[in-house]
Amino acid sequence: MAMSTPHPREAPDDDEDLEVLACGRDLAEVWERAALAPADDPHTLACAYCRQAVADLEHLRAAALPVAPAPPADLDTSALVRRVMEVVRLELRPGRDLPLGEDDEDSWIYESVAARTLRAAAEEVPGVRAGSCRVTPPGSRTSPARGPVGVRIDITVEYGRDLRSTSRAVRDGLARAARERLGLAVDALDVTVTDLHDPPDRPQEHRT
Amino acid sequence: MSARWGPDGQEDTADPGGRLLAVRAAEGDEEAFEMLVRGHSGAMLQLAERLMGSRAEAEDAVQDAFVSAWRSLPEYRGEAGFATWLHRIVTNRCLTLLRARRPAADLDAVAEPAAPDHRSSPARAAESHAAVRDLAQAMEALSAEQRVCWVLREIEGQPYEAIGQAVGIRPEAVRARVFRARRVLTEAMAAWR
Repeated sequence: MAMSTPHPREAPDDDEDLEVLACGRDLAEVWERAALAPADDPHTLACAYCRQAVADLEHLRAAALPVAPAPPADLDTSALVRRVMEVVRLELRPGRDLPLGEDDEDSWIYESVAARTLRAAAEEVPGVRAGSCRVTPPGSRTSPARGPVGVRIDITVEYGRDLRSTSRAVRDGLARAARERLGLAVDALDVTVTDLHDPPDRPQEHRT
Repeated sequence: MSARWGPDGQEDTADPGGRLLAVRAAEGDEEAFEMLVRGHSGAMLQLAERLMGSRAEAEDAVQDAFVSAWRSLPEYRGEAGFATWLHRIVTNRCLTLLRARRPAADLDAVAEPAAPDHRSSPARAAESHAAVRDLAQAMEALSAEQRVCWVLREIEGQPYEAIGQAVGIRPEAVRARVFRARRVLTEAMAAWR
């Protein structure tokens, strides 16, 4: 692969043309080396052509950097965020329809809405953050049937928490939220711990 | 976990919360997406302003990029960090907008560049402002690819490989474009020696 050769010349590009300084050095190489480290070889230190070329590039950089706008944190992006979210809310992806209530009812809830409630329930357990949450109705993907749903949720848990009791607490919390907040019958509940995360920042110096 | 390079690579790995938010947004959680937009819009706006040379065009590019990120999130598999993935979308959007610019742009229409900070004497400040304006004009002579490769390399400080991935060309083609841009721009700036 071309990746193994640092300066491949076998693929001439239409706007790659070699430029050689009066001292015989390749200008592209001189600039590349100057970008990596201050000149240390005797030629570059002594050669007027090389030094001029490097000075030109440094001058260009000096002029380019003030063009850089304010640091990201100083930019007011609230109007931008609002405009983006206005478009996004016109293009929601609600997911599948899930059956709500009894078999003879015709009530449904969007998967994304149920998932939001279930993720929130999982995060009520201390030290838990919820990621993916898929809720699968019986029946095919295209025509969901009525009946109990399956729930799969990925969580990450704070370092130092007992994983068994934490995931059990998440399971209990999910089952309760499905029953009491959503009225959703669940027959399979998968909780997967996908990662561990650091506890939120604490003032370390105050610990004894 | 494999090491990922990103424009804010440390953030990608040190912020598992960002990955969770991306997964949730991919599943249709627009509130998670809004948190991502809030978290990344400053950096993306800065990138786009550097690429486009004007704030108004940068805002359009970033808005389009976020909307297109929302649409493509279901296909996002997390192989690149979210910031890196977003960075590519913004870069591509800017590249498209730069290509669509009329080639014979009236030089008077070149956006007035942001004023440099005036820490030095007024005379120096005026001189450097003029240099910045000349640079902005010279940049209009670059092709869209040259301009994008040069900004990503020289101002954003990205490796050639990452630029190649963002722009969709080989690293050696990036090298060639950066060199061409340096050539054109140093020549234009020679008057300020």
